[in-house]
Amino acid sequence: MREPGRPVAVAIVLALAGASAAHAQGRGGSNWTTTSSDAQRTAWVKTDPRISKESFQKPGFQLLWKNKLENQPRQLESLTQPMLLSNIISYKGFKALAFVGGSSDNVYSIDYDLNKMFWKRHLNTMPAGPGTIACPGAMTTITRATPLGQTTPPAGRGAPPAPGGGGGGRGGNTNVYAISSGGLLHTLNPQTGDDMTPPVKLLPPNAKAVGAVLIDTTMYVATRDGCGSTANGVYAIDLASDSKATTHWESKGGSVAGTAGVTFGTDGNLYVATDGGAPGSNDANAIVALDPKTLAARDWFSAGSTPFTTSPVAFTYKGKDLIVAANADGRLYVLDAASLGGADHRTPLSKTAPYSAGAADFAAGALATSENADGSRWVFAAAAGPPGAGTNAGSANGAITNGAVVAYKLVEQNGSLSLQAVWTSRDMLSPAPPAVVNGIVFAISTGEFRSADVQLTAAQRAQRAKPAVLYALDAATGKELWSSGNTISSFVRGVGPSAGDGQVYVVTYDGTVYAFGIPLEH
Amino acid sequence: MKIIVFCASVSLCCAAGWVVRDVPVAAQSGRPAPIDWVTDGNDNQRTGWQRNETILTKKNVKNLKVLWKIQTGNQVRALHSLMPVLIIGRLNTSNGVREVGIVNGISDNLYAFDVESGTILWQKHWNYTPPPGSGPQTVSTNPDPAHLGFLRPGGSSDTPVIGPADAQGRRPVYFVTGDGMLHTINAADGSDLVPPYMFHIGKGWSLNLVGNVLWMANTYAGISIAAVRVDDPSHKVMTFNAGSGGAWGRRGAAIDSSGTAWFTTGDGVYDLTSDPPRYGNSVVGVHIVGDELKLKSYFTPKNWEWLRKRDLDPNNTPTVFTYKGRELIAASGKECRMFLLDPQSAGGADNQTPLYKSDLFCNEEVDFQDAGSWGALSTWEDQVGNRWILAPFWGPVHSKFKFEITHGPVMAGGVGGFRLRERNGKYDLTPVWVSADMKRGEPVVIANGMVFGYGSGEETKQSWPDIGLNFDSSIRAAKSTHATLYVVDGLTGDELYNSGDQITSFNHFNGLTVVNGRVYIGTYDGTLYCFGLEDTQRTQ
Repeated sequence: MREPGRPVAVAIVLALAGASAAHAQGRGGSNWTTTSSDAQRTAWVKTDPRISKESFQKPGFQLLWKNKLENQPRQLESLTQPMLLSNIISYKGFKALAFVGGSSDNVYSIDYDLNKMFWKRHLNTMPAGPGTIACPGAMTTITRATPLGQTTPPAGRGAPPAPGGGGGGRGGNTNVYAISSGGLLHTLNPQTGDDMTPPVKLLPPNAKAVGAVLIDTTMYVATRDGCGSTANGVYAIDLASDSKATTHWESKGGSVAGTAGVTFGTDGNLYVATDGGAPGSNDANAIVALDPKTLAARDWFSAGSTPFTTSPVAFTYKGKDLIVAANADGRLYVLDAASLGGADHRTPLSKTAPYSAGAADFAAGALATSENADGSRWVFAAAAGPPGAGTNAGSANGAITNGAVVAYKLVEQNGSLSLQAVWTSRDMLSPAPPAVVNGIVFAISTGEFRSADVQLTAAQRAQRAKPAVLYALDAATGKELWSSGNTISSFVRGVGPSAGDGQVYVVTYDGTVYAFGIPLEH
Repeated sequence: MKIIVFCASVSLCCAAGWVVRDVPVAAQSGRPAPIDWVTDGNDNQRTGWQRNETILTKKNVKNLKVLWKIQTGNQVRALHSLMPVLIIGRLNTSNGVREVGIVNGISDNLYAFDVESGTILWQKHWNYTPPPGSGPQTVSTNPDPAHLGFLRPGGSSDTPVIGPADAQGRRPVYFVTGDGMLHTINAADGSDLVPPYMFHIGKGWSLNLVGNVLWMANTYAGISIAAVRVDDPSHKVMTFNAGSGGAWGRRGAAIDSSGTAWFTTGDGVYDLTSDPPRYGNSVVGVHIVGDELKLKSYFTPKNWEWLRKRDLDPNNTPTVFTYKGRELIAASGKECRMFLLDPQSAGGADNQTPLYKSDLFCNEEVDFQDAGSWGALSTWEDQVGNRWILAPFWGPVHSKFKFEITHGPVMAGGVGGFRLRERNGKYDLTPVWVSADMKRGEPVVIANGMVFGYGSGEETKQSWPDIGLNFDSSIRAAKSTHATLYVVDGLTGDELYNSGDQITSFNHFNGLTVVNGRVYIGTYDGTLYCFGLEDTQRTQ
């Protein structure tokens, strides 16, 4: 058991309360600053200037632009999820920027309203080895500074400059952070892409970094798959410290599960899901709570013999700080952050019936969660294969053979919380983690070819993949409102859409960024 | 109120040798009697057109030189220093009839100078405690007013206006100090003709006097425009609030033939559902109904959300003119398009449809600070009846926009000359010429077929990669160079004159005055320059 860190939770609530007002008064929209949008990995854009159920009642949502970047894929890794900076007063005026990391140690800054490259930067690092599919030796994560609560547009013109000065054009920390394949953490000027400070050593070369997130002045990142002789686990570094010493939590043989790495709970603690691990270890196939300062384990929940397949998602519901994650047993686990697994560390608040069949090498990666206007809490998960028999979500949106997104509603019965399946989406091939924007679920049928055959090379897998399709679904019913059809010409390697400021982004294996939205007259 | 009179340091260049005595100037010299320039932009319509210039010609303008310069001693506030000069051609003073200039310094200074000698005749300074809600934007711990935020300098930002002579032949100068007080000053000696009274606080722009109505467009004021009847003993101030985005046009409001005052609103929201409605990013016309200002008409571009997102508001003063018997308005702004509007219904039935909208002629970068059209448009009619609209701009010409006549690459700014055309009731603008490159093209004056413009030399950035966004004006001042006066042919944009490096400081939101063969420009360092011709060159 541990201290809940309540003051932090209060701060988050306050930040959320201010979000809508700031949006209404400011330019731009929400900022998707880290993998799955925010520190809680909700993948939820609460409000949006143009995307809504009402706007989907009429035509208009469409491909706005695409941009083929000159990044060279490494194995199957290509581009990171785009991070957004909806408004910066730069030396070239107000800009709305999408930052994209490229596997070959490239960082791109695109003016997302105009599809105009603002800057691009190649990070000089050691030459990459050939790599493997699991360990591509690639740059795999970038991030921006992320508040503990859901991100809000920065303060108005005239706000104080970024701590440390420079770069920022509108107050707050607007820098871009990238971890090169060589393991160096770069702090990039959002106006130019230049290093703001000398890069610092964070990880061994060729580590597989996942879900970097900067909270205040501390960068957190998870590593997985034992790449680059790096112990799997969580690394943290306080960039404001003189020593730049790295703090580390090791998952003891297991890998860190999911595409979003570590998750900040609404109680201020850090949560990480593991995939495997030493038998008998508290950290094996577990959700582990870590102290955000020391990374010391504070609590854990073990699912037993089956690994987790997503990063945790965190939210509050009726005063409770909750954690939800997906497991390879096809279930979602609902945990109380105050006591993850109860006294025996094996008792969740609830778990769903199996919803995912668990196809070869499929992992849901990350979840999404949102709250409706009526206060109901929803969780959305990507699933492989036909839905499990106990899902009971009906088939109003068509038969499912390959996979789908499954939507759950959190319900309280007799004082206990559980997730009740409400709908399953149309059929999707290897769906990526979805995103929720103002009542609309954006889901990608990635088209990725998945196989348990370890002999298949990346090129062979890429060849057998199918083009991805982006879908817009009614978050309440799963009804398909729109699809990108055959607009996208390549597959997506497990990267869910990011969104904000009226646009939704998809990145594909061939190095293309697609922006979808409702045009704003220029 | 404390009045300080001081003797300015004067550097006199009196090569003109044109001495004024107590006799009609024209009778003495044989030259045309000097005329007035009593308001910014020269008229209520803000055309910037000096119709009566005869001394300066396309042939002799190449001989322009600095006749004199005055160091006024005005204290800079933010980036502001001197405002555009006003001229009274013949003013009865205690020393006889003089051609007298009036210029305002941002630090609540008003100067009158003798045009011939380049000497200060009188000077007034006002001290006050800024009323609540007014005052400058403090962005630095340095108390020097040069460090104030450039958006809101405080002080007297308006350009005064000179009224007609009263029964005693006295010429009133209307001037608003930074505390919002309206002063009515005797141009001859600086004395109060009327006790000062409250007009409005805020960042006021050039005053416009139409009959007995004094207009002041405003920002950071809680209103957009204020008006008062100068002969109203109750001093009732009428205001209109466009609800979002202050007025930013430097020449203030332009007044059409119906008495409607037209101004542009800056970076703001267009929302008719709010109470009161909000008309940001718009061209707004208001008129007096009874004792109140009421909305007459407006135009809001359909892409106003985009303009707001990138801070590309129509920030300059529109100009009003008549073409083939029909009154029209031309407007532009930071987005860098030209609009033609009908003052009877500026935006048509939906308030969002102009008579004409050009393609983007600059600001391809979509940059609110280093690009776009700033300040004010100007207009004139050539000898064969062609109507021209002149747009100053910052930054390069848009790569997809073509002027018929060019004068080399334009990177830092310039002036575009557009010729109006009407076909079957439809209007458009032909982009005929663009000037040579100017470091930030500023609002122009047209005189005798020539276009007088200037590059301010100002560093206009508000954000830098190394220091980010910073409103401390001293940063920009340190990065600025110097202003340059240009004269180009009004029909072709061919350069007839440039001042090179004779002007040693830059300026911010200044403006030209061209009258009686002289050109006036003020600079950041408080220097007022007078360009003109030596006597021997006047007849060329």
